[in-house]
Amino acid sequence: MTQPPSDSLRPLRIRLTVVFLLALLLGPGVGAHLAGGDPENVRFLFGVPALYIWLVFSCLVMTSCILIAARTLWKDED
Amino acid sequence: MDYIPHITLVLYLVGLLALGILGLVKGRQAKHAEADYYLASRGQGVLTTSLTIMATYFSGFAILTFPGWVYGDGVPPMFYALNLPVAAAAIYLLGNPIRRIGRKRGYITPADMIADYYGDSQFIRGMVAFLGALYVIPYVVMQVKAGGILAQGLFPDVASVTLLGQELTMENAGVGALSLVTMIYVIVGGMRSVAWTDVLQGLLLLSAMLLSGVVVMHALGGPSGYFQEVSKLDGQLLTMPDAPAKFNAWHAVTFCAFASLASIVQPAQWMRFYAARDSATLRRTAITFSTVLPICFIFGVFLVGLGGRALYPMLADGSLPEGLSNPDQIVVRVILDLFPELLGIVGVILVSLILVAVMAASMSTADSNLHALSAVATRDVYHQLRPKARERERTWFGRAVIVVATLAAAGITYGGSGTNLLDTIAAFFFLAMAFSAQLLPITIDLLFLRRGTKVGAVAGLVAGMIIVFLFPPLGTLLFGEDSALVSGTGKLKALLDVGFCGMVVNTIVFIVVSRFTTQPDAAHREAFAQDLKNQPQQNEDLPIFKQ
Repeated sequence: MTQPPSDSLRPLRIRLTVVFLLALLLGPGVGAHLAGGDPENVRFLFGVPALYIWLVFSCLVMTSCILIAARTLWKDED
Repeated sequence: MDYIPHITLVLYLVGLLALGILGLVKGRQAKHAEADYYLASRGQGVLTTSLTIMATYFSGFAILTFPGWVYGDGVPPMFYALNLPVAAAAIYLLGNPIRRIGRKRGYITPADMIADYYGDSQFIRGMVAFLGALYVIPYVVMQVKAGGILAQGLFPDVASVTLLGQELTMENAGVGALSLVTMIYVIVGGMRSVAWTDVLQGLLLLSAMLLSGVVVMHALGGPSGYFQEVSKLDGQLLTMPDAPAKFNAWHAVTFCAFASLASIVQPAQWMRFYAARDSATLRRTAITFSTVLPICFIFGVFLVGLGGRALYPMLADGSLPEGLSNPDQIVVRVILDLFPELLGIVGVILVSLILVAVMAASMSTADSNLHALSAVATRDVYHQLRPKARERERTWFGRAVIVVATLAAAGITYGGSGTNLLDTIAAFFFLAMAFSAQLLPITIDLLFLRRGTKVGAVAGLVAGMIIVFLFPPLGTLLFGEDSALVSGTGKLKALLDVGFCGMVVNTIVFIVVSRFTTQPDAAHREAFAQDLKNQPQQNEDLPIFKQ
């Protein structure tokens, strides 16, 4: 296993895991249906299809979780 | 100007061979021939590890099929890119403990580690090796075939020639040349050559993905012009479909969560974790993977697919426009039309580079899988049959496996076109990730839980594999198209990822059987857990795993 983070980092680990999984589930799931609208009434944001923006946002959230984990939770051991 | 594609291709192939020879020279100083040939002496740094993992992760699929999906179905397939952050997290969370214990105990293949934990069972080693082969072999054959098709695309005007009574097309010549070059550099330099050539191939691939997106956007009048054209597309392409339509949310979620993990625990990637120098390498690889790849997809080739739909709209009856016989050709079509027109001579050079990059995508996947196949055949089969074989003998056997596998792949591609054999291999290729996914439950168990048993692991693997065999296209080959079973699994496949379905059954069987059978003894589990946590000493003379 990776070196366990200290107790003080446990809440951050839990929060990052929850946010990451939520972005994974809601990204293509309910969020995409709500963001994109329906074929007769496509939603746009600043002229860009809202579904595409939602994809970028979901990916950004997941990538941010990894970047934060890599800087705070994942310790170099060697 | 006509010779630019030829010059680019020759420079690329010579570059690959040069890197192969450099790998050979560097490897001559190694203490352990086998660990060096298969794992580059476990010393791969960040740049090499990042790019070899990325290049192995994606085949021609990344630059051809994925944008083809976007061309055909719009924004919904783009959500499959959310598998990238999942894979990035797995590179560190699964990869680092695998690296750590692999270094400590001298493992080389996935089966070394799994068989060691569950009690040195030949059967479980054989099962893991078989699953690995089910992933690796179809990938090698299909990538060699893809290389030939791309060579035909790069030189469409070259006429066929007759040699010894056999007609040789550009596709055949491409298959021959690419197989030969790949085989040579994998044989001479092993993992080091494969990884170094992956660096070149990965850089070409990523640049091509990003550049093609930028040019399409420029061709449509910049970001505002681009999205203005896109906004005129059919609403179906810009909204999420309901299940069971293609690319629905359920399928996207299960694919992103599990297919990505399946690709991360396949033999070639697993060996890359063993080969990484230290934990910092895998941490930085995860960062690179999670940032660079999504950018190249979401702001690169995806935009080509979507912009391509605006530039080359489908006909009213839903058929493809002139110049496109398959949606997968959209990237090639767009760059061939736009680059020379917009960028002149620079555009012609870039077209050649991008087409070579597409070829690189196929070659980088083929070489990694050939190398992994060699390791699996040597460690998990030959060494079990000839336990007294020395390291050098095993390494030479591994090289012979590469020669035989390459010749077989080229032969099947040349002689098997349209035959049952090639169709069967293609069917296995489409389910390769689903087979690989069956390794996940035991991987999670031995890395984090250590509650499963050998019998449970074997029963779970068998159950998961049987489930995958029931799905089309393999189910169709086995039971026929009219079978009610295949009809049922076909409907389920539209809703959920096949690997996920197999893995659910695999996990349940693994848990239930483990509950009623004997675990590895406590001392063995404790020692394994300690080695997963502990670091080897600096400059430790790494042991070679004994069975």
